[in-house]
Amino acid sequence: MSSEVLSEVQLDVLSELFNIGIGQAAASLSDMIADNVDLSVPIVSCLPLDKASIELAKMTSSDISAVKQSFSGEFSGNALLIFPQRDSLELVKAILGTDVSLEHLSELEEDALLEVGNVILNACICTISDILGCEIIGEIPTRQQGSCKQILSMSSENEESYVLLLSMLFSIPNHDIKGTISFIMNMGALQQFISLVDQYVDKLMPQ
Amino acid sequence: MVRAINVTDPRNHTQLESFSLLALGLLDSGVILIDREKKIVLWNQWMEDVSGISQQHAVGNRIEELFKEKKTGRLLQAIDYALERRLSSLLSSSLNRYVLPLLMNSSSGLETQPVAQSITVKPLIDQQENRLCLVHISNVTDVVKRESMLKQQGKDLKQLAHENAVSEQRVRSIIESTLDGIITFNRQGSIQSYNPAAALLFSLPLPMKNDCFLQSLIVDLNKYSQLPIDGAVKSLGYTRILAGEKWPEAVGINSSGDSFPVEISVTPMNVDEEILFTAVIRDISERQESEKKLTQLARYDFLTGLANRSFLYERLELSIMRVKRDGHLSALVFIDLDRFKNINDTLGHSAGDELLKHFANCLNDAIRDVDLAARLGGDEFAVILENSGDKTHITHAIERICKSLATPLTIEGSQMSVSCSLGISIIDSSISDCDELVKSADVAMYHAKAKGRDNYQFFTSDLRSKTDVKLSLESALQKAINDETLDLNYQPIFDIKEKKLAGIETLMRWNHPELGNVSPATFIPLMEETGLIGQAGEWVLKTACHQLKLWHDQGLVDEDCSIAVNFSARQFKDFETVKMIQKILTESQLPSHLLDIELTESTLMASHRNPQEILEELKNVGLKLSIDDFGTGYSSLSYLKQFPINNLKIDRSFIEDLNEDSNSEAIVKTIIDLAHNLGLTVIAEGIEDVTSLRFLENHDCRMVQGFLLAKPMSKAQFEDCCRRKIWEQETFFLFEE
Repeated sequence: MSSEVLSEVQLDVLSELFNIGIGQAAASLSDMIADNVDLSVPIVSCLPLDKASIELAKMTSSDISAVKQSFSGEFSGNALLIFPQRDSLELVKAILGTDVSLEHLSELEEDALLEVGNVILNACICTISDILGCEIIGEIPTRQQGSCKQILSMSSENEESYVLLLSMLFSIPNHDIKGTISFIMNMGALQQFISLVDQYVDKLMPQ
Repeated sequence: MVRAINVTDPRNHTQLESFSLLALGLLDSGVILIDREKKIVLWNQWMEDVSGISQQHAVGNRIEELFKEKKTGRLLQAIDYALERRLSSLLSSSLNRYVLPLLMNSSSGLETQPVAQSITVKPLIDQQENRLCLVHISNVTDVVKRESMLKQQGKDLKQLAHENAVSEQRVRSIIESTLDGIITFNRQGSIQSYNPAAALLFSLPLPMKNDCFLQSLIVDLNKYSQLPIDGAVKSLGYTRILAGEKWPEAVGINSSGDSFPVEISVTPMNVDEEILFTAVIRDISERQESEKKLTQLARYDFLTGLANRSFLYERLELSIMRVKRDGHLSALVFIDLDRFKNINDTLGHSAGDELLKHFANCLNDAIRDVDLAARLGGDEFAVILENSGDKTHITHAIERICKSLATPLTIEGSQMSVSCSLGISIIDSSISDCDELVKSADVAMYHAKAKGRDNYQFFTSDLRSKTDVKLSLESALQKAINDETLDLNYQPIFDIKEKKLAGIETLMRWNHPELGNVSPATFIPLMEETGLIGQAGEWVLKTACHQLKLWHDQGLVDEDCSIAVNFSARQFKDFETVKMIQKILTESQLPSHLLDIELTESTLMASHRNPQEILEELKNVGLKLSIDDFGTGYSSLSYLKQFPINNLKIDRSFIEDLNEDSNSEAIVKTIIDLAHNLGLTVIAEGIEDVTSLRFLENHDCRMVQGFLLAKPMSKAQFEDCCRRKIWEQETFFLFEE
């Protein structure tokens, strides 16, 4: 996956960091559902909103289910955990151990999905705030459904927004669920993010 | 009245604060505020109610101090997150039910129940920039209940759906696996669906592809046209099947245009407000085929394939009706193979069967298609000549049949042909009865046989009366044998020289209850013809042997007095006869040389077996053998020399003529000389006058028999004569010294 604003090295580093952060989320989830949950972020990329939505549509199906968590503070935007509709049902089925046969999730099932998203997204936000050395305030997650484009544009302030895409593998015994985590940031936030990533990489690997 | 207040105005803050607290107290969910030290600073009324922990007790304590359960871990982590990382968390009730041990009254109010909780934990900052954490607990007990109820319903529905699917599957598999074609169609005959059997039956594509109408698959045989499309069910055939009537003319047509008979039943059904019909269609070609076979079996003779008796009768009824209507003559011909039994006896039954089949083929070839040939059983056949024209035409037809039947057949290397006797009964408008007709043909056939076989006879009413007498005699005779009401007469045979009773000839007598004494000349041939002679002959032999033995024992006759019994041709030929004689001799304990079997020349010659062989067999038993009626038949001097014969009985006609005819004298004299030369004993029978007796005496004929000496008499008379020594007193003086 090509990236326009972040170098290969930066992306590699980010991927490494997210994998560490998300590992904590996996541990929490394993506790919660009393089963072994594995989470990993194999690929990280950063794209402008329009390209990201095309990319995302390729990765998932046209109808997606998302857990959205807004964040604010020194650095603001929206974090999204995106699944193809079918996979979100599959996930709920896996974590609740119940038979989700109806097309739509019930109120409580939706809550459960939100909590799982909340755990994963909180872990990612923690990772970012650790990298940036700043505090990010996370809101309560909400759920969104629709096409990739609809969801991404609803979560962005303007057309110029950038999206940090983290492809994620969510694996529970007998289930392999693919999801994508997207951080949608405006240009200002992105530039700040990039410079902070640069500093972090420099610190990590002095010339 | 609540007045709206400006919340941004610091002057209003105190008032706002008191409103907020009031609202918090009325809230239907839990609100907990926790400070940086994780100590509770706010604990609302709802929390007091459901946790049983008062605000005073809660405030200043940490959550883990109030609730020691492990379950609170996730909540504490979330509080930590909110205070340290300023991140919000959601604790869903599905994954974290009953995080806090909260209880509330159930809706009935009678019992307490745990509160299902959905918890959000959010970071807060107060006016003094202090970090706080807000824990908001929603009561989702009702939601949980509702959802589990919905889930159960969902499960039930699913179960139901599953059951429906299973039963539908079952019905479908029945429909799909049945051998009957099942077709669903609407009022217009448009086919909605069909099963694999129907697809196979009509060679339709599966799954169904094109529009198809029932009318193009099922037609009425009689019309053999497509039924009108507008309202298939209204058209004749379909209305009938709907009414549950049978529709025997229904015919199915497959896509190649081949037709086959079908049985069809239609049931209407109401599907989604539309009337549909289900037709169950069965190909009955095989059934019709087997019905046909059954008919074949019921109507045709197995061996020859000709019609059998019952089918002949069926057709005869029709012929009688047709003749009555049209006035054209038809004819019934009875055909009996001449001497078929001989063939069966000598060549075996399989050869006999071959001959019957050959005969049947010839018969079939000789008649027209409209005629009918039948085998009535055994060697009896019949033909109905339909619309046969006048007697001349019929005669032509009969001669054609005779000619065809004369075609020789090669069986086991030897060519053979069989003659037959035919009886013809013309079917005219006066005939009304099938039985009568059959009887007439039978009588005519019988007559043909009587006239020497190998000819045909038309039935005439004259024939009937003759035959009627014969028939009634026959049945009376049968009855007489069964009831043992036949009688034996005994006629003495005297030895002229010794002046004594040398032998006794037994003669069968029949005293008919109405007709009185029936002449042996009438009933003996009848017995021969019908085969009754077998039974009667055995009875005679048995009675004669037992009787003589008894008379010996009683001392009524001399120990060397023999008894003579006449044998018919049938008895002579019968393989079983020798055994039968031996059995009777054993039972009666009569010495075998005292039994004298009398055979005529024609009897000897009628056998297809070598007469010498039979005679040897009989002779071996120790019997005496006499040639009866000698001089009338095919007198062959050579056989006299060869055959193991003891006695010659000169035919009565020569004896009767002795006085008038010098030829007879010469013949008798020659016979006596001949016999003497061959070492045979001569017996003269039919002696009615002294002159004849003298002649015989003079020519050394020793044994004599006749009315002059003693008539045939009953057992009682015979015994009486013996006791009273009648012959010694009245007969023997006739013999010369």
